Amino acid sequence: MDLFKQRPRFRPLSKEPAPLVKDTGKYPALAADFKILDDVLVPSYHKHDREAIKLQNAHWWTYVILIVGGAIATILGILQLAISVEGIGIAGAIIAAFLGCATLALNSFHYQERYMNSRLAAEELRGEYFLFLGRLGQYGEKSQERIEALKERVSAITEKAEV
Amino acid sequence: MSQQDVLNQQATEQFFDLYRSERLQSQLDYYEKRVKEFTNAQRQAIWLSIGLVFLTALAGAFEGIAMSWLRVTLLLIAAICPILSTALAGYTALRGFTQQAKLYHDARRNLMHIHAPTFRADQPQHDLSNEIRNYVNRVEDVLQTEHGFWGQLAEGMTPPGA
Repeated sequence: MDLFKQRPRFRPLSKEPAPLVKDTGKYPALAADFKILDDVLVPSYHKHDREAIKLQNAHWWTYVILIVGGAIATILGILQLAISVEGIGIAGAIIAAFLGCATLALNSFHYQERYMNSRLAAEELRGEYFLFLGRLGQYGEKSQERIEALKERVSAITEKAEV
Repeated sequence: MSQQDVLNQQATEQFFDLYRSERLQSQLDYYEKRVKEFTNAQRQAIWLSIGLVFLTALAGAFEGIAMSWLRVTLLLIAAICPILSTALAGYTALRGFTQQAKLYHDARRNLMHIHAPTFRADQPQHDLSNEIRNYVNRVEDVLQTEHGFWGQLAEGMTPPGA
């Protein structure tokens, strides 16, 4: 069911990070550039990509807990009125405590803001990856200069994401 | 043509192939998949919501039944279904299915409007590089615009009352 396909998960990260280019062997003329990118850019890309997945999952968890918990607490209140059982009141109190924790986490950890910073950094790095391979933009210079330009750009994007 | 020119031309052509398949096509596939998924999700959310409202109405209509246990059950259904419907509305707002589907649909359409350059065998290396540069710049502009909109959209994707 597509409605709940992208739900929060207990293990959001895959074991192996997905490569930016699946089969680099098909492009032998770009082999040297792939090597440079693997050393300079790819580790930062994977770091931000995985961070974004983790933070997005945490953001979803907190909101789903708030939505579902709020609904359950209300339902328990109705049940308490309809069939007066002591256990229902206790369950309601436990759920209310969980909701309090989720609200606190939402306000303290800024999951969504951090997720967006990481996702945008990962996407910017992905764009730079292809610009470097095409020797476009600031990467059209001589070999050493373009590597320096790449290092500076990666560093700038990473710093921006961490502010 | 010098050996260096041949190497440069090979690198340019391979980059163009790589860019089209790994950057552009993979992005188009991603957008297409997401548009389908989010459109389906929105439709399912609407049907589920209609189902819950229908159940509420049904339970309300039959709550006059004399049997006390059935009456209590129907009253509970009539009270609980609107709560589930509200929770579903909250979840739908959190995910922003309609807005995301629209955003990805527009980005996909804009990318598909960019025509890839065609190359002639006798084309000078300089012209080839320029055409590829212009093409890549246009694609990257569309992707950057989408990222900008997406950031704004994500800011607004919070459930009502949160």
